[in-house]
Amino acid sequence: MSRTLRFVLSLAVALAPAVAAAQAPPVKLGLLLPYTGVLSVQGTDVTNGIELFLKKIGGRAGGREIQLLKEDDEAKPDVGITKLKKLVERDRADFLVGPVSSVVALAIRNYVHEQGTPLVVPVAFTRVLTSPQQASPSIFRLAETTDQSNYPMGAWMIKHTKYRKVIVMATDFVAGRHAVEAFMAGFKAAGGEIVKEIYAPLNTPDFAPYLAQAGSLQADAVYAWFAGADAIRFVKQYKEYGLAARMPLTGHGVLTDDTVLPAIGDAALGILTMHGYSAAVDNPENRAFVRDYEAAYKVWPSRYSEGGWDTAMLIAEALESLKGDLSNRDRVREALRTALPKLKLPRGSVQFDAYRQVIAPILVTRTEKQGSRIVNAVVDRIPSVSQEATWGWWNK
Amino acid sequence: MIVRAGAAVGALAVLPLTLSSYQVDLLTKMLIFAIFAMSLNLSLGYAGLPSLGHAAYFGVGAYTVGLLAVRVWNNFWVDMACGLAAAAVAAALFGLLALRAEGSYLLMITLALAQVLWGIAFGWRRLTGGDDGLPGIPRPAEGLPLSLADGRRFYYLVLVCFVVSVGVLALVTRSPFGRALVGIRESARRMEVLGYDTWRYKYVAFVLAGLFAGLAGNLFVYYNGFVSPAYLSIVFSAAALIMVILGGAGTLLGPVLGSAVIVYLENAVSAYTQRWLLVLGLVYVAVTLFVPEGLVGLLRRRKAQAA
Amino acid sequence: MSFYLIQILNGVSFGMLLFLLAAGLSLIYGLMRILNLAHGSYYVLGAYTALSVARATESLLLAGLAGVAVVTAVGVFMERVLLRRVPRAELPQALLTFGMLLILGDLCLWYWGGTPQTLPRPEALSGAVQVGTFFFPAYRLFVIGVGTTVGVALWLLQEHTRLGAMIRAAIDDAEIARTTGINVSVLSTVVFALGAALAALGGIIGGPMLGVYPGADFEILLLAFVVVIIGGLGSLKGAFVGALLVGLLDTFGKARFPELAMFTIFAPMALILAVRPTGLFGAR
Repeated sequence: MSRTLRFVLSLAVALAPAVAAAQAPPVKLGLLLPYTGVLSVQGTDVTNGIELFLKKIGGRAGGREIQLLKEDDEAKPDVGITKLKKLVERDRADFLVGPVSSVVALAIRNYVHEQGTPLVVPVAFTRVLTSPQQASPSIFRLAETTDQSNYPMGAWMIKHTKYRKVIVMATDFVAGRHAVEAFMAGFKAAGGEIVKEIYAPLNTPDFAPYLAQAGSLQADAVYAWFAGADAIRFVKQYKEYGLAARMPLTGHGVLTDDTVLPAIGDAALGILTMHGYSAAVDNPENRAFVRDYEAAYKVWPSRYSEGGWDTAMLIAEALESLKGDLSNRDRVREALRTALPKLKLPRGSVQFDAYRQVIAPILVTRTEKQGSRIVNAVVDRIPSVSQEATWGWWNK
Repeated sequence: MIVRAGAAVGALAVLPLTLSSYQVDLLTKMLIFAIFAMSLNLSLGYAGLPSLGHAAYFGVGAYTVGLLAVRVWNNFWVDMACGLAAAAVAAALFGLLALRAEGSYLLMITLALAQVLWGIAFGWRRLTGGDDGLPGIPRPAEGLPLSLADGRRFYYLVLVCFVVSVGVLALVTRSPFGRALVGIRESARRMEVLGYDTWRYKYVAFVLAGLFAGLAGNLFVYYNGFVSPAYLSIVFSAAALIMVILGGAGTLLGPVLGSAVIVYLENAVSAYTQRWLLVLGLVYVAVTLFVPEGLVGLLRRRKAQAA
Repeated sequence: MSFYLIQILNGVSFGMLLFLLAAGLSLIYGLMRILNLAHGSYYVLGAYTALSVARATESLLLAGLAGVAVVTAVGVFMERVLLRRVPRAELPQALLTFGMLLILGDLCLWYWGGTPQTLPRPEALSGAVQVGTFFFPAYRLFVIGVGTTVGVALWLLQEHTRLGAMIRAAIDDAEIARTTGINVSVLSTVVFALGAALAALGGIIGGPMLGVYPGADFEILLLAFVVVIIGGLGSLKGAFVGALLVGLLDTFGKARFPELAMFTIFAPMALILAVRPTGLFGAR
């Protein structure tokens, strides 16, 4: 054999595995997240968490490259449906990730169920999505439901604080209303009294009318649910209108999550909230995660970042167990389901219940200053809260 | 004329067999908006009544169908009929108020009326779901011999509605009624002197336009499976306006061309960039500056020059 | 009692912002019969520009001036270069200005991103003033002050200066105004620029209070529309009264009937259009 030919052949042999691997098409992750609007920070954070994890594993799993396709749902249902159709029918996404907005989640549920593309939900917490009536074999949720992260707060408050009469304030849309409903059910079941419910539209720039209304009533505390930019404005204005002194502010974790704390500043100190994750959680996985995240993005991760990280970890683990073979949708779904308990997530260890909803630890935190940073310091931890334990008041 | 029309319809009927489901979906959207644009054309292009609130009837039809299908009685014929009736009633009521105005005031009052509906849809959460809208509206199935859940089958329903709309609007615009409308648009005073009750002609055109907008709204809510206050907003009304003007106001098929161009552009542009609204805005500016007679007018001019 | 006082002050402060926008919109329509749908973009662009300049220079004064200057330039461009090329009919003008609304809105989204922002407020105005058992933000009192001052200044301009007289004459009858030597063309540009500047000022003053975010342009435009329709196109007094009315309606509506919040504004507007289309103080 000529030297050239031998050279070419050995080169071909050396390159063959790379060529073969390169020939398997990349796994497409379709991200349906809000990149504009009130919830845009959450969309960006989820994406950051996903990208950080993918970078850590070299962008490949199960022998295949992972490709991200990002679509902005603007937190609007009609836009979400349009973009989802694009991801599924035109781009042929293998996995779907998202959404953040519960409203979008409800709007896309039927389509996802019909199409059968596995959807991993890192944030949208509407209880309807994984309820017995609406749960779909293709929908896997890694975020706790509004019940899981609001209902237990009622009993906790009665047990650990002196608040017996509470005003409830929230954004007037699906997520806000469901959240405070769950809190109210839990609070009343434990013996508390709800003085008033006050709702403001999404993206309210000026809470003055609502705060004045709250201020004119007698109560021990306020329980609030506001997200993103609304949370920033609400907490700041709550302090400005002088309510903080008379009626301590409490709420769901979204009010003081790590995305908004830097923007709120000192007005956020002393707020008691309940959520599934705080960057101040103290375990080895989380410390590493926070360190890597901060190095990459210069800010602390939020629960949305952690949700994205968990999502990427789950899909990568499923891909590994399938060895990259996505041809059988049932096997893909099974792989996703069985992969979760094996994972060591920053928030601890979780598993899926019968409806593919996560059973997870829930934290009670209080905002305080640690050094120059304001964090959600963990006050209490309830190890494994399931949706079934918290839905007795509506799912009879 | 009939032969050309038949050939076009035939082409549209056969097209889905060669296209992917995504493309059929897109074509369906084009036809739905073509109906919407043609309806506005009747009011604007033929009767000379500009409106910044045409989405009101689109949205009323959509909400009626959506609410009935999800809450009351999911039956295709009943829901469609109610949707059309609701749109026509809304147009009949609003027409009484709107037609008292002209020019800028007509634009403003039509916008205002649409906004009132928007405000109700937005605020009355218990009925309409508020800003969250109503999800989970199924494709037409009940009351029909077969389910239209499949994209291709649904396309044929929309195609039938489209052909019927074109047919009816063609008949209306070529009838003495239609010609009178054009006369009123050109010079209402002259027509009045000739003995025409101009108000009644305009009113009928307005209500008919509302009816067809309602038809488009009905189909759109089945298409998306979802309805929200956005369907009543100025964004939708302005989109219909630009489709009519881009295609050519006062021509029968101009709006069809306009809607096809806009829907296609939106899809094509969105594939490459997030800046669709920028492009759309540029289209609005370009059309008003350079193509005020619309694409059909432009084509006719070219043909006349070539001849 | 203090609850009502607080709500009234809230409503008035919000109304002042609306006045800044409505005054410009009304003047532009009064003189040129143009419905400037891009007015909402002027508000937003003014706020965003001020935000960037404030971040870069730490000077709020410079930020305010920059915001007004940039938006005025855009307004002059729109009037001289675009609107003059379009037939003097309401539909092409409405579509052109709506197109500009979309363009400017998307450019702002592109440059400043999708996250809602709040403009910084001056240290001196960051505190709160005690009213009964409540605290009322000092900044909102400042907004009321600014709005009233601008209102008075505009009124003085309109009634007691030559420029104001020329504008009033041109609004009454442009043809005759031209024959008396008034350069209506230049006047149009001046008025359009003034309207744009007022809208920008609204955005800059309103930024610390309401924030600026994608979609704010539409929202504020619709509210300004309501004010102008209720108050009457072309009337400064109408803009002021209408703005106060809408500000109070909006505030009390949200507090008392949150379910009907949007409706409480648009229904009176439709009512006025049906009963008295020229608005409370409009002419013709």
